[in-house]
Amino acid sequence: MSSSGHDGSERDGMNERVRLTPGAFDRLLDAARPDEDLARHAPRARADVPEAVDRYTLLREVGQGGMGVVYEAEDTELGRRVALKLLRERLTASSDAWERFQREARTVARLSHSNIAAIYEARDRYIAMQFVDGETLATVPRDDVRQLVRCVRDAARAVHYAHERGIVHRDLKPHNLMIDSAGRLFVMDFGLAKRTAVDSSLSTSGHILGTPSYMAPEQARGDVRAVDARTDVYALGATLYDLIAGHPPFDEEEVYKLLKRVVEDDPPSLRNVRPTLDPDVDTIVQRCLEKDPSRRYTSAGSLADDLDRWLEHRPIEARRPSRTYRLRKFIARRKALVGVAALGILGVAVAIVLLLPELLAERDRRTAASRALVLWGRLSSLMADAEIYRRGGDIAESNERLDRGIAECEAAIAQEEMADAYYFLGRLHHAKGDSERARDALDAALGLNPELGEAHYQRGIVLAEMYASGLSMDRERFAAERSDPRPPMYDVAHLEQMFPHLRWIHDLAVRDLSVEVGLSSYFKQVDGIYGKAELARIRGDRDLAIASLDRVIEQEPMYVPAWISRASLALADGRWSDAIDDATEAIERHEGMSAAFVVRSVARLWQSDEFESALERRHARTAALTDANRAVELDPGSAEAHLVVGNCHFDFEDFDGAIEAYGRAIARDPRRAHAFSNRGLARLRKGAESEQLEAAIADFHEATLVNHQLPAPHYRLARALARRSAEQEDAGKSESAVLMRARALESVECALEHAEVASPLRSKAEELRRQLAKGQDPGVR
Amino acid sequence: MGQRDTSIDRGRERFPSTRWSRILEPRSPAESDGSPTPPSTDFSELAAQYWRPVYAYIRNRWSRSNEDAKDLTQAFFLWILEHDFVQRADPVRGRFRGYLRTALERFLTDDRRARNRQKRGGDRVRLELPGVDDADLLESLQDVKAADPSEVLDEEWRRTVLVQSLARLREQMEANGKRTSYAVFEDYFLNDSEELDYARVAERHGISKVDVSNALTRSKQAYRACIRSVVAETVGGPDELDEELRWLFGRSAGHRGANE
Repeated sequence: MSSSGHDGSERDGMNERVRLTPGAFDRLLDAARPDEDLARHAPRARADVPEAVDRYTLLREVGQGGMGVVYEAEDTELGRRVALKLLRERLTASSDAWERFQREARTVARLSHSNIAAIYEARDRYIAMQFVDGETLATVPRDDVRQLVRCVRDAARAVHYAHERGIVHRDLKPHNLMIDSAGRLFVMDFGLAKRTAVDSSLSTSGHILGTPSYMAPEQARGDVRAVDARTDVYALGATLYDLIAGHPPFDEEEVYKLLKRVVEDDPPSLRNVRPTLDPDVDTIVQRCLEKDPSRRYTSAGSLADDLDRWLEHRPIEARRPSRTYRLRKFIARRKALVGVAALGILGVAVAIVLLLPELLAERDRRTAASRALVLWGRLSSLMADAEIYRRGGDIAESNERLDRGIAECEAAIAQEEMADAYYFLGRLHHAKGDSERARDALDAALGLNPELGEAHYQRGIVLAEMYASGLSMDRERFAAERSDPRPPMYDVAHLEQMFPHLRWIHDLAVRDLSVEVGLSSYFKQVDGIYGKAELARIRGDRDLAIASLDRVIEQEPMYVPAWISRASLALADGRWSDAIDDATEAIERHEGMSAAFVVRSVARLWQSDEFESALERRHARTAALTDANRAVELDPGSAEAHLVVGNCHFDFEDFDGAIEAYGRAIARDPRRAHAFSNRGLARLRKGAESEQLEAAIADFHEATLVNHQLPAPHYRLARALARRSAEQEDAGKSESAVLMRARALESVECALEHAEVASPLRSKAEELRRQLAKGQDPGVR
Repeated sequence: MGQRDTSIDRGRERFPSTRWSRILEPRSPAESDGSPTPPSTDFSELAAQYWRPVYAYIRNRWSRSNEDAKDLTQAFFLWILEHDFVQRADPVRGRFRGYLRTALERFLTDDRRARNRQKRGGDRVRLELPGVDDADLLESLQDVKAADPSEVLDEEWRRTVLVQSLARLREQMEANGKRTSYAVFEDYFLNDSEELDYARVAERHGISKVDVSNALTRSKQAYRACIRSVVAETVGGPDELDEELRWLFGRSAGHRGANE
C-alpha cells in the first residue's frame, strides 16, 4: 500500500484502519507500556519463573539483559527490596557465561558511588543489586532539555568516578541510565563491559548486545587499543543526542550500514531536529561525538564540567575560545542585546573581515580532514576485515583485503600526497609482514606531516620488530661465519657490539616511540611507553620493561596489552600468581584478547605443579584448560593458543587430544619448536609402538632444526634415539644400533651445550651421556 | 509503584499547543453568544478520531441497532457543538476522554435528546465523520461484547489510541526510510497466525537476527513516542498527559483499567 501525501495521510490511515485481533491488541498494549524489555512482550519466549531464590522472594520481572533476567525481589532477611539478576537457566552450565556473570559482579563491587547502582551480593546464580524504582532514560519523557542535560551530567560524573578506578563502561546508552522516583540518576550495568571488538560481533553475528548506535568509531572499528575513557565520553554525547533528538546520531536499519556511518559520517546537527535548541548544547554534543578521540573532552569529568557551565549560563569550553568562536559569541550577544539592526552594516562588515582568514582556514582544514576521514574509515574497515580473516586462518582472503587497501592508498597518493594515506600504506605493509616497505611509507608520511603521532608510533613498532628479527638473524649469521652449526647463546649486548646497526635501529625505534605528540588522534603518550617496554623486553632488559609497563598501567589502567605484557614477564620470572593476577586484570577489562587467556592458562598450568593436593592440582588444570580453549575460540589462528591447549591435554594425560592440538599449532606456525618437541613427548607417552617412537624422533628432530638453542628437544631426541638403538640391538641389528647410539650421543652433546648450568636437565643429560659413552643401555625403554 | 515523579517532564518547558488544549482556550464573547458555531477544525478532527469509542459505548450500553447507534453517534457530536458543551464542562476540562464520557452520559440520559433525531444532520452544522464499514464495526464490537458495558468506551478508546499511533508510526517510519523496521514491527506484534520468533522474522525479511532485535527496539521506542503524541492531542497539559498515559497503559492501573 502506498503512503499518501502528507495532508491526506492521516485520514487515509483512518479509513484503511488496521484491524487488531485480540492477540495483536494485547501485544500492542504491552508494547505501549513503558520501561520494559522486548523479550518480556514475547510470551512465546518466556520461561517458567521461580518464586524464590535463597532468601529472596521474586516479586516481578523487570527486564532482561544479555546475561539474564532481572527481577524485583525482596530480601526476606533484611526486609529490603533488591534487583535480582538471575542467570538464564540454560546458561548456568556454560562456564563462559558463568565467568562473565562473576566478572560483572566483581567489577561493580569495586565501585561505590551514589549514581551507580550498588551491588549487595553475588552468588553463583545471581547478583543482588540496589533496586532502582524508576524508568530508563529511553522511555522517560524528553520535553525539558535542561533536565536531560542534568541527567547526562550526573551520569558523566559517575562514569568519571569509574574511569578513575580504571573501569570503562563501554555500553552507555539511554537504556542503561535510570531515573528513580526521587529523580536521582543511576548508571546501570557497569562491568557488563560488552565485547568491544566489533569484528567479533560481526563475524559471529548475534553476539552483539543491543544496538551499536552509541558506539564510538574506534570501538565500532574494533580498535581495542584505542578504547578508553573517551570512548565513554562519545557514548554519553550520543546518549544526550538521542535524548534531545529522539533518535541516536546515526540511525540505520542494518548493523553494517550503521557501523559504517559511525566511522565515516559526521552526525547531523541537533539543531536540524530542534531548531530552537541553544547552539551551545549542540556544540557540547558535537565535541563528544568527534571521530578523533583527542578532539573530544579528555575525560567524562570535563564533559560534566562543561554541562554544568551551560546549566549555570556561563560560557562553555567545548570549542577552544578561538577568535572565531569568541567573535561569534560576541555577535550573538550583541544581537540579543541591541538587535540585529543596531549592530549596523559596519559592524557586520568588520566581523566578516576579521573572520575571513579563519573561515577560509577552517574550510581548508575541513575538506582535507574529511578526505582523510573517509580514507580512515575505508581502510580501517578493510584492515578489520583482514584481521577477521587472519584469525579465521584464511590468509589468502586476509591478504586480499590488505592488497586492496594498499591499492586504495596508492590511488589516493597518486591523486594527492597525503600523510594519512602513507600512514595507512605503512600499516598495511606491516600487516603483510613487509617491514621494509612499511618503514618507507611511514618515512614518507612523517616527511609530509611530522606531527602525525600514530605514524611515529607505528614506525617505532616496525623498527622494534626489525630490531628483534635482526637480533636473531645476526645471531645465525655470526654462527654461520664461524662455520659452527651450533651457535652459542650470545647475549644482546654482545651482538649489538658486533653489529652496530642493531643498536642504531633500536635507538631510532626508541626515538619514534618517545616523540611527544599531543595533537593527533589514535596516539597517546602511553603508546610510546608501551612500545619502549616491548623493546626493552626484546633486548632482555626485564627490569626496564617492567618499570615501563608499571608506568603505562599507572597512567592508563585500561591499557589491556600492558597488563598482558607484564603478565608474560611475570611468567618468564616464574612468578605464577603475579602472572595470573595481571592476566585476570587484563581479562576483566577486555574479555576479547586471546593472549591474556594464553598467559593465564600457562601460569595456571605451571602453578598446578606446585600444589600439594591432587584436588587443587586438578582444579588449577581445569581452569587452565578453560582459559586455553577460550584463547583458541577468540583467535583460532593463534599457534600459541593451540600449543597451550595441547599442554593442558598433556597434563590431563589425554595424549591424543594433546597430539591433535600440537598438530594444529604446527599447522598455524611451523616454527614452533615447543609444539614439535611436546608432540614428540606426547607420542612417546601415548604408547610404546615403534611407529610412535619413529614419529616422536621425527618431531624432536624437527624441533631441534626449528630452534637449535633449546636444550630439551636435543635431550629428548637423544633419549628417543637411545631407546631406538636398544630396540635395534634386541632385534639383532647391532650395526644400526651403534649408528643410533652415535646420533644419540651427538644430540646429548647439543643438549649439554645449551642447557643452563646446574639445571636438572643438565644433570640428566650428563647421566645419559655417561651411559651412552660406556655403551650401556640407558634404560629408557 | 505509586506516583512516579521522574521530575523530567514537570515542565518548565511549554507544553505544545494541542487540539484539545486549543479547544479549551476561552473564546471571544462574539463566538459564545449562543448563536450556532461552525465546528472548529480541531474538534472535527478529534471527533473523527474518537467517534468509534462513542459508537461502541452507545451500541453496547443502550443495545441500539447498528443504524441507530451510528445516527446517535453523529447526533451526539452535533449536540455537543450546538450546546457549546465544551465551554461548560469545567469539571472535566482536563481530558478529552473524561469530557466525552461525561457528555455522553448527559446526552443519553436526556431522553428528549436521545429521541429527537431530526436534529441529526441538521442543516446548520454538519460534522464529517469518516466512512464506516459495518463489518469492521461489528468485528470491533465483538471483541468487547463480553466486557462490562461501562468499560466498553475505555477499551475501545485504548484500541483507538493504539491504532492511531500505529498509523502514525507507519507514516513516520516510511517517511524516514525505515520501511523494514516497520514491517518487522507489524510482523512481530500484529501477526498472530503463527509462532514468530526473531529467526523466523529475520528470514522473512532477509535480515539478521540482530537487525530484527534492533528494528524492534527502535520501532517500539518510536511507537511509544507516537502514542505519546496521539494522546497529547486529547489532553490540556503535561500533567494530564502523564496521568492519561498512566491510566491508559500504566501497570498499576491493571490491564483493563479501572473507571476513574
